[in-house]
Amino acid sequence: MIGYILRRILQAVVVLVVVTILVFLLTHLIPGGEAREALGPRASPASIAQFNRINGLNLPLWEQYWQLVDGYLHFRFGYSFKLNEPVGTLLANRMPKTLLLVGLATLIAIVVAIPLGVFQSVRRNKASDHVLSALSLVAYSMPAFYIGPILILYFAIDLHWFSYEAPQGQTVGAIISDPRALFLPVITLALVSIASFSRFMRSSMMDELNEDYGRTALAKGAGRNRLLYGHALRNALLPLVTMVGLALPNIVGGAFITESVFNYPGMGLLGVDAIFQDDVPTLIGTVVVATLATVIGSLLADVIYTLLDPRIRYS
Amino acid sequence: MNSTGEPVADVQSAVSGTLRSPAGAPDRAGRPVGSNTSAHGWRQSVRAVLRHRLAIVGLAIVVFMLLLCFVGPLVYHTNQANAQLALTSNVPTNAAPSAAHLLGTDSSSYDELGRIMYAGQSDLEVALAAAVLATFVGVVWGAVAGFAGGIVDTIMMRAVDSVLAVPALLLLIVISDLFKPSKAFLIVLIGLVAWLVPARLVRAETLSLRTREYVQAVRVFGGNRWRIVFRHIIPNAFGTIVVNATFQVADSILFLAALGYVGLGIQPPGTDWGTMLSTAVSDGAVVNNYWWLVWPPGLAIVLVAVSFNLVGDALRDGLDVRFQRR
Repeated sequence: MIGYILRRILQAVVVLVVVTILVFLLTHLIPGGEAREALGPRASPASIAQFNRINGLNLPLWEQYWQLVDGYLHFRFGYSFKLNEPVGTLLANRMPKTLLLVGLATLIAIVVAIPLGVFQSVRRNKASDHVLSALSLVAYSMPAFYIGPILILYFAIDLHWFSYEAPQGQTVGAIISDPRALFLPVITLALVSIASFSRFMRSSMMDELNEDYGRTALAKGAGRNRLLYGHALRNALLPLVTMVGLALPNIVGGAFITESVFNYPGMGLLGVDAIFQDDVPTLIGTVVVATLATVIGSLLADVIYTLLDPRIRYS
Repeated sequence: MNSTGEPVADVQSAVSGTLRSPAGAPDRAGRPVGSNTSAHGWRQSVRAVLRHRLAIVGLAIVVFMLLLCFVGPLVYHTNQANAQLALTSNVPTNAAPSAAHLLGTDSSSYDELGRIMYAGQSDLEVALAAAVLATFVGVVWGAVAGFAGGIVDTIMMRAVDSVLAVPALLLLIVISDLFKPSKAFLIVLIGLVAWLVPARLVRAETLSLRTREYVQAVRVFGGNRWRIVFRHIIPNAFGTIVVNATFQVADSILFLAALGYVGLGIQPPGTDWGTMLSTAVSDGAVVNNYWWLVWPPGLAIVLVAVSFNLVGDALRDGLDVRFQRR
């Protein structure tokens, strides 16, 4: 098992290296080059040469790549010429807020999806199961930028239950202390995961309920509830850990869109704003950090899974 | 197997499948993807779809959307070529639905229904082509990895696992932002982030197929490995492949919509549903309650995504021996 975890960590490191190489190559393939991107189309050759010298763009490629990695290791993610601030500073402020949003949404998705999935597996192929299946299919197919405005329209503007905008607090504490504003963004982001997790829980529970051990438990006199919650649910919960790990890249991608819909002051909003303002260094820094966080999150989910499941003995 | 079509036990795929063998790994939507879906031909898949009432609904929506987008413009003529119609031919902007404009007009005075059709052509073309590309790449990758086995398999599949940990949407956003892709390039981009799941499925299928007697018989008769992979393994994994391709279309539509929302979808003069929705929201359609600019493009995205999912679900249930009625 230790061997598996070590190999899994090595794999994550390889992914991170590949992602940085990819980003490095991409920035070098920008039409016109980085200098033109920063200085504009009418920059003189002299100022471009100077920009290249200052930023080390005239060094050999491998040295430039090393500079990039060295920068990442020291939390330097480039410089935003549009916002006139180091991207690392911007991210340090924004990242905890995105972690909060992603964490809350994932948590809510898990807490809602488990009972939904169990309920559906118990009532399988009955009307309530079909209705919930259909609803989860619609929820999964609903982009955040569609459901978001609809929720705002009805729950914020018409009913005044929640704020039409995410909390605008500067710190994580300030954001948590404004649940009325936090509710809609979290629900919007959680909806897709609720749909996919509950679908997964349903089929996972149905598989477990058909296992031989279930019949054995019933034969030994265990009640229905004991079978459901003592045996089947415990086994069905395990693979959900893997499912959450697999869904993480998707949730982070969704957070970018959700943050921009609700004007939530996190990394996603920073990234999407960067697209519209042609702020390439900020966009790349944001995406790199989000990717690193996601890879580490998936790694954690896999490690937790191996620790939880006594049956796993990796050779 | 019982008469209600419930699955029988498959603890292997449900519990340890995701880590040990990807056979039962859930995909992004939490759709469990059974591995033992060797196709028994088209007739069975057709029957499977027809038996499911929901699948018929899904299929009907797919056909309806295809007709709407590709045949619709031949019946419902609108000017989608000239911007600034408000200046040249007095077409009002943001006009509510009327007899002249069935779904009203948008902030550039394009006819909204015509715009939906026009955008839908790009959406459906990109989604279908990206799904085909992703399926093709994934199938070849998975079949080669599964058949080769050993170190080749390990390297190829670890590569797939690795890319799966990267948020595909963010990758798409960065590349699209740097290169402002054309429609063809968008197809390649979406296809290249979506081939991972079919690769895992086909590899799992290959692992079980390569040990079957008929494959070994081909080997005994002197058939080379490419013949085995392309003439025997891939055709037999066809059920799994078709089911997944259907889901890929749904996911591609959602990817393109998200790209459109952040301004990186089909670029002007073209458009797509995500771009339409994004433009509407940023031009104040929500605030001013121009519902005809908000509901239709979003509904189009959801309808297409749901319908392809419905068809895929039914195909899977029909082809998966575990779900078959007897």
